[in-house]
Amino acid sequence: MNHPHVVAQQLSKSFGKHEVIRDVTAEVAPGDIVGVLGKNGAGKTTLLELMLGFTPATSGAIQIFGRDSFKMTNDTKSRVGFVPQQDELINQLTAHDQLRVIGSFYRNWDNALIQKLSVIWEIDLKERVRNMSVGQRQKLSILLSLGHHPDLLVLDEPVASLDPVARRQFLEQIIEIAADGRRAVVFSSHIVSDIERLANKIWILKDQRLFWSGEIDTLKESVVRIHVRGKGLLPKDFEIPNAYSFSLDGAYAVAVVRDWTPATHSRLANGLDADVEMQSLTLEEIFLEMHR
Amino acid sequence: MNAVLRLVMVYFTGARVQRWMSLSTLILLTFGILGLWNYSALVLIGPKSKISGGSIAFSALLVMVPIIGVLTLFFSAALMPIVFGHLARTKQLHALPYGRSKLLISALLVLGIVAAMFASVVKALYVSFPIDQGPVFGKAMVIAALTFSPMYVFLWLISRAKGALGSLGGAMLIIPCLALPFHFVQIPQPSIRMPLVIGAVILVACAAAFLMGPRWRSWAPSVVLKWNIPKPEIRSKYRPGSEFALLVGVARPWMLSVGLIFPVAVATLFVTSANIWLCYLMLCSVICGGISSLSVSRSRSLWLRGPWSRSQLFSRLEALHWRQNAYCISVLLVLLVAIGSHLGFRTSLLAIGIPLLLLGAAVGTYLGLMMTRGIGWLDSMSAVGAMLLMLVIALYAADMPTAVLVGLDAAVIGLSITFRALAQRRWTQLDWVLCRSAARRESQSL
Repeated sequence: MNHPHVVAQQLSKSFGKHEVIRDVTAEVAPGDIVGVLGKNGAGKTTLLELMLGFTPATSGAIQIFGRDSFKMTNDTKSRVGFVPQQDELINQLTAHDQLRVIGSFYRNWDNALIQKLSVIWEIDLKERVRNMSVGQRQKLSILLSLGHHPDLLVLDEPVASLDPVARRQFLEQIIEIAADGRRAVVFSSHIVSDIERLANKIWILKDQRLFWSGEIDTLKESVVRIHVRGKGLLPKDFEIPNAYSFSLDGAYAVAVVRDWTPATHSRLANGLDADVEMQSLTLEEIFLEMHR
Repeated sequence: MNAVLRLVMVYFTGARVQRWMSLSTLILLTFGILGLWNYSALVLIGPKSKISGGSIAFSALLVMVPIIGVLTLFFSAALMPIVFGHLARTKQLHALPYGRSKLLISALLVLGIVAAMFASVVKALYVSFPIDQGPVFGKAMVIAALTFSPMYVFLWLISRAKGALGSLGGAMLIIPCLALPFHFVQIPQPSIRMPLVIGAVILVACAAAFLMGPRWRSWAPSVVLKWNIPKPEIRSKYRPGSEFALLVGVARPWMLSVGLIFPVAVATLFVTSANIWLCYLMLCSVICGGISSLSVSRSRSLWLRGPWSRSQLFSRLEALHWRQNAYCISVLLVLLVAIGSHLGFRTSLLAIGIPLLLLGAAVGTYLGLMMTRGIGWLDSMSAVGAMLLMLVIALYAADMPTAVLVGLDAAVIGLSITFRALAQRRWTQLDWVLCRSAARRESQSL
């Protein structure tokens, strides 16, 4: 049986009186690509940093490869790759030297992979880091996190500065990484369409809590828009359970609901003697509805 | 005008601590100036004192209150150079109507307010003295403007310092700040004409450079092309084995130590006193050590990449910074001996300088390594305490009994050991999120 790469149990983090993460319980299993979504300040970066042991948990626990992330051993560290939100590159070095510096920390650094990716991603390795564009720096940061074939890749808004072509190339690379079933990727992004395209699991942070976690397909099946067309006027006190939003206009009502099941569907249709039509939502629409 | 006043308000009340300082300033200066005006120091301590018993103590209080008021006023506007420097470099300023002029006026207004308050205190202080009262206010104002304007530049440089160069630049400015006004005060019949002319020329030149900066920059590329001036670039080449030092920014310790020569060379133009030299070189050693504070947040990138625990990271960083300190202290010692020989310092002073520079570097290094989060009042107070002790040693070492000197040195050694123990303990629980947020707060305030 495959052990999860990351296990968080009732994890909380506060800075003074300011609570950033509250009571988060989640897992990352091998083969998972987890997209972390949340508004600004929802605690995405803090959650990722807790995972990597940059900061201690206030309460609860988070383990990475079976060990407390705050006391990671060298073996554990060598299995982790990380792309920070703001790069930590050395401006005075060339990209090539920067890669050599970071590569020297790992025994299994794959120069061939780096060479291949730098050609595909059009990174000029002779260029000095300070002269690189923001997008080029971002690509280099991502490259630095891939060279040692990490079993767990953690990316904090990795594609924010990339053009659409580079983003697509990056996403393909991530899919390739997770394809062998042993490795896992956790990444946060505000580009919801990327998460939708790439992730098989999703964590949505809201009000410092893990508001929703699970398979992305399950989320899309469970949160739907319902159109109710009555044969006559719909009752004024009519309500749809578990609705994020609801509006009623005579014989027509529309709502976005969670935990939608075929049983709920037929119950509603029969109870009102109305046509009930279900419409799937995109992840972005679901996210917006959750934050209304 | 609204924008100028709004900016001035921000300078004095932008942060919570400044609001308190501004309020304290208002109270201190009001009571201080009124007190001095009504009961001038001369009357109080003279034979016809209006207040009997304890009048000397009361007089001292009357003098201290407005002086503290002026100091708090200076620091309550400490946001001015930081906000000014930040806005001056933004593209937003180009889009604002008369943005540069308004920003400049607001800064000059603050400088004017601070200098005028200082001059008012001086005027009140000398109001009963049998001297020509006419030029007192004007002279005090010029001297204050000359003193405070570079001090604000110094504050800006220190706030921008992300590396050794900024810190050294700031340290370099301390000397003219402290030396220039006193130089003119010491002249028997002080005339403010010369400092006034020099100050006005510098001010006008700086203001013109600030206002015309964008236009000059648009001309600059053609000039550069015409003269074909190569763009200077600090290059760094990676040598295997230096990865750790490279990632925390101490791979080239010789660069910092060579950089020390420049501010010391500038200081030779102003400083001749042996004690001031000891102070200055000690300050340089503290700054060199204090650069360790920059390594704290940089060490984050090493955490995931190496076999080191937080304690081991601390030990390696400590060793690297002492390697850098060794370069710097060597250069400072050579400079101390060279300057001492040239100016004829006593051998005993040179001997005092050696432990003082070592202690300065130790205090700076461990205070820097303690900065794993925002600076608390305990950190600030202990840092100020250590600095005061070292300043006392530097200034009065020559006249001190050996036992007292050894006692003071022992106290600083004790503080250094305490700082090290505190730093080591903090590193075992190092939270890079707190480091980063402190660093971010600083960068946002720039």
